[in-house]
Amino acid sequence: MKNLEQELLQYTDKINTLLARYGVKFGIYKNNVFKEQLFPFDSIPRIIENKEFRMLEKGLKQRVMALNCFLKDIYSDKKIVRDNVVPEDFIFASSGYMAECEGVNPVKDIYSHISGIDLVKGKDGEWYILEDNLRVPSGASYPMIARDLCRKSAPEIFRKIKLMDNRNYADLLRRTMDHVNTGGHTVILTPGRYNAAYFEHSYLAERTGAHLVSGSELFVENDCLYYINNDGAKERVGAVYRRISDEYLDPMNFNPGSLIGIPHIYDVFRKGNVALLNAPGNGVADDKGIYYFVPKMIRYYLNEEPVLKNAPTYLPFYEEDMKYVLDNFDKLVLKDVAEAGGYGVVFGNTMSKKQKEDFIELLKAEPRRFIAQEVIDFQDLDILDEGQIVPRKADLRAFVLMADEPMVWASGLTRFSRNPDSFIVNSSQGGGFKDTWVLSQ
Amino acid sequence: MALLNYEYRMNILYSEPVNKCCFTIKAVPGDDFRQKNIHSDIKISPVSGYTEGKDSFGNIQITGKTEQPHTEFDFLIKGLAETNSIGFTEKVNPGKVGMYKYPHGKCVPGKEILRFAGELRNKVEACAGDKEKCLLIMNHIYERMVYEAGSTHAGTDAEEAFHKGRGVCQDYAHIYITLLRIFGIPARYVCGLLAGEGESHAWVEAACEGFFVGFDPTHNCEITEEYIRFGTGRDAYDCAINRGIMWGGGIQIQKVTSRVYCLE
Repeated sequence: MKNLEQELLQYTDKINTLLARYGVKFGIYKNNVFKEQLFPFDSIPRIIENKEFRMLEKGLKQRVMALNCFLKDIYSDKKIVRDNVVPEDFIFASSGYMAECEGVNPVKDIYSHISGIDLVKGKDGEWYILEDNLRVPSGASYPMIARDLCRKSAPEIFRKIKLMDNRNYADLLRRTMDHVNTGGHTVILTPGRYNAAYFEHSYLAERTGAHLVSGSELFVENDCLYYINNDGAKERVGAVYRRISDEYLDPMNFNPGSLIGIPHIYDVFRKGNVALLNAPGNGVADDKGIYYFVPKMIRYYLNEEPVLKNAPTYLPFYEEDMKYVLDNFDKLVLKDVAEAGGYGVVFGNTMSKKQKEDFIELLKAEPRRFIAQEVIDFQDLDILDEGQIVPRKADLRAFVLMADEPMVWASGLTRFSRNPDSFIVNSSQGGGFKDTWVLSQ
Repeated sequence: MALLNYEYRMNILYSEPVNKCCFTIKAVPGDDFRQKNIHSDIKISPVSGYTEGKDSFGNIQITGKTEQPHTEFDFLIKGLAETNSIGFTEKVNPGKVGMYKYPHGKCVPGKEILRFAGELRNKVEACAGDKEKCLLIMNHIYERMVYEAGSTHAGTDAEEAFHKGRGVCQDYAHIYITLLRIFGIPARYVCGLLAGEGESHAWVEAACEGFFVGFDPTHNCEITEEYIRFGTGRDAYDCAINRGIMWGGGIQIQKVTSRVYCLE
């Protein structure tokens, strides 16, 4: 295997050139200026043994099933709250909870059709879940196209290894969208080319055969959603894989200032006449505060023991956890539950005395707003950095798609930090990516 | 028991033509323990395609759009409703009441409301039941506030109106809801009509002994047979009578008139 990796190295530049030519870019806003940058690809893959993947697959399916049960419960009876498993505060005070979604049943009761679950592998060899992304997780397109280009550049390598093909992501996605389609076209709704993941929107549309549309191309009439075709005729839309966030989806139901949404689309959804992937309101389940409760959810809804572990997490909301956090401040990482994308994450040991005092004051004033976690010493992966092979921190975003059954994509987005001192791998913070190989035997 | 003839009209004049508009109107009385909508007629001009549905707060909503250019939009509902004097509207649903317990939107307490709550705490805690607490808090707001049309605007929140000491029914309701929630009583905003008033009215429903009971803080009383409920929500925004998006339109002038009178 090592030799194969070495062989791939020589293709690094070639593949990056191809990725640039195909427009594999990541947009970021810095000081309010939109900049598109290449998403650096490292050709040394992350390799996951087949047996290990089977374990991950089992754990990921279980997790997503439980999260889906949770969402259905939270927007209806809230049994988990009434049975005192999750405190009410963590639902209603969460910015992800949307009262507008109460009592609304998504098609076939699926809330999270496409879930991006972030994991890391610790030095102890154990996998830990870092966070769940159930709103609009992005990233699958990058390993998809990278694999495709690698195979084209170095076909002989791929003849030698027994590897699960990851080019079926589009089929899985299509199956997921078709499963909930209420009759009519399937579209991918993009906010447009100034979105960070525009490349992905267009690539997935091309690969799944769905129409790539913007909000102005869709409209609602008599409780149905329509799309204007090239001849100017209107055609029904039955499923929308929307790549815009809840707030901007429908100015009549959510943020009234949204110009990229479709007025009344949520009212159509409410009546069961269109599927929205993912369903609005999922933010209540991937909230960093709710993360703590996911293992409890698995036991509660599925009556199973969690296969995959959470990183050890403390909720300052609970008195004893607050005490632990204050006593062990320097060895913990603290996260603001309302933030995402690597923002609002601080390491206790990197703060100055003044910063620490200010932070603790804030923590005591708003304990519900933060979680604290043990810093997991996760395994480094080798990357090629200016001709040298160096170890860097990396995580894995696994994709779980929910059709008639949950399906785990036999690949994933491995992101790494290019900064040797950083644990933060988010692409919005300038990291790079790798392909993820799952061995077929 | 009372039979109420009701009429609600919203008329919007635009300085420039509106080429297209989408609207959501929540001005149809639903049925509950204390009211029954016997019949109603709706007229929307310009003629628009619309459908009826229910929002997540249980309110009837009319959603539609028109692509006919217009400089005047008119909505009229006329109907007959039956009400009774029991005062409560619904059983408190334990799975749904949570959203009415927490600060939200226009009902987030600031320093002054919190201080006021602090002053009331002993008295409130001395009350025997939920209803007594509600009446006591309402009475204190009524004493503290002065009703003054035009002193606030549609976007004014509870803390701001409380600071001013002045406001209209919407402000009274927001302040009352904010305080009730501080004292652990789930409370929700109600929008509707009241006999003898020329516009829409707002009041509050608070969870008392397992039922949502209506209180009108503007008039410092429990609601009577003369109230017709259009909608409820966490604050005024959730049950706003009219929400719309216009393409064009320029400056707009909105005029609302309502008439409610008893037949018996």
